[in-house]
Amino acid sequence: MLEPVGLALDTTRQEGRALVTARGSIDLHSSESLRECLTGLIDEGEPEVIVDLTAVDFCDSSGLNVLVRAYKHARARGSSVIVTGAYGRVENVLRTTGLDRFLIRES
Amino acid sequence: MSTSGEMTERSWRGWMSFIAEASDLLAGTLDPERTLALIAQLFVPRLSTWCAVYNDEADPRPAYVWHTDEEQSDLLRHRLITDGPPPQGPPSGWHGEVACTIPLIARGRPIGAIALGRTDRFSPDHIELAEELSRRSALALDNARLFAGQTAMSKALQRSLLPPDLPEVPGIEVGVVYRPADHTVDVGGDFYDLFACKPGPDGARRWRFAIGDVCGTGPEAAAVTGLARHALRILAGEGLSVPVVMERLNRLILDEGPRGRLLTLLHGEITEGGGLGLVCAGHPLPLLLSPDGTVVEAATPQPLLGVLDEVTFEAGHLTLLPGQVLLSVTDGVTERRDGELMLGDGHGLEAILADCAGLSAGAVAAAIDRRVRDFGAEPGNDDMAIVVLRAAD
Repeated sequence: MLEPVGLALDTTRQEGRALVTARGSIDLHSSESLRECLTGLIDEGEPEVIVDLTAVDFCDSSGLNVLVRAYKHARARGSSVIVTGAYGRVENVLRTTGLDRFLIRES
Repeated sequence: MSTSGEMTERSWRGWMSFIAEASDLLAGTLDPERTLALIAQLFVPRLSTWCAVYNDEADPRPAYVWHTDEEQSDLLRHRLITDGPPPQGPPSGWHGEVACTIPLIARGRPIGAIALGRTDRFSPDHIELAEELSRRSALALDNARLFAGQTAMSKALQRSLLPPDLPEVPGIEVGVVYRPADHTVDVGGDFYDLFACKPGPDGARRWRFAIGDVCGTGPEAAAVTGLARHALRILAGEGLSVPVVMERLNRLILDEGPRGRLLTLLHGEITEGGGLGLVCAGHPLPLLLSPDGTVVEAATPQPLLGVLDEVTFEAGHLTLLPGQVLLSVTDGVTERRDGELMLGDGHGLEAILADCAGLSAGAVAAAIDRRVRDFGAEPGNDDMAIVVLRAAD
């Protein structure tokens, strides 16, 4: 199967939560696939969606927009979206935008 | 298109490739003036001895005249103006030549005309090819005009998002660079502002500045930029504190519902003597440069606007000492790319700013701008704004 250019998404479900492993860059071109993926999982009623960004090297404002909208969409439906594994640029952008406090669960 | 049979198959093939090349050339220009000239140059000399292009059928003055013999151009233009263009329909005698006018029709609307003349006769194939080329020319010209209209609108919109002029702030030098993302059509989401506001309770004069970035580009983002910039001026002008202005703006954007966009915003108050009160909401942190070249972050991150309704903000305070520089940028600077590398990686912007010790505010802004443009060979696809405040020595 061909991977979408820039961002690969892999979803596994376990014990009442969905883990989305992202690889690549989240930008204007690739953020739509992440949006579809997260919206789909939330609409299917997943109580908790975890987005693993360990293998993501860049996330721009359109990526943040997708994460924020998913977060709000989930909250409105009584579920949750959490981000893990952010490091480097991605961690920086989450920290700078103050989104770390909503999206990242302290372990 | 069918051939009248006068041409050999070989010359017909030659004409078809000419029409194809002409179409490529026409599709490649989006400037109305250049398209007019190109149209005339495509007709001459292959299909006609001369060609005049009219922007508007009602206007007797041709917008562009092209003749195989350049010395004839002025006489031809004069004739066209005094006698009017040759009649439409089959080519007929005109000043000792054979000429006709073909209306330019695009999307069912007349958008101009071309007049063509030959010293010898027009063969039926020439006429057919001229009509074919005029259809393609009309569409290209119409596209170029639509594009020019959209570009003008984008530019006007972009201009409206920036302050008309910047006030003098006693004791503070201001340097600003603003570069839209180009692409001529898209309006970016970056903005900045600097304006005087009501004196404080102590009677001291105060100014506010802001630099912000609305997520995304295009008219939807520009609408939010406009909303934020004007609301910020009004709220801050009324003397509401910096954190309260941020809270109100956040509310305002959330109230826009699905039309709202994420907004990162650095907003600050400047008081006489160099006092600064800053809130940095999701925006790249401002940097403070001292005359000895040390650079530190001048604010702590707070959440960006347009996400959650229960956010409150807190202002951080500092004093800009003589010779110190406060640098504020949008992410078009820090996310400037050179392949896999970004300018902001590994405190890249801090290092660039450290090299700017001793420069005036305008020179710092220009130096950062130059370093950004030198950083990535590829032109940025994001707009960028740079605002530099420097306390006079």
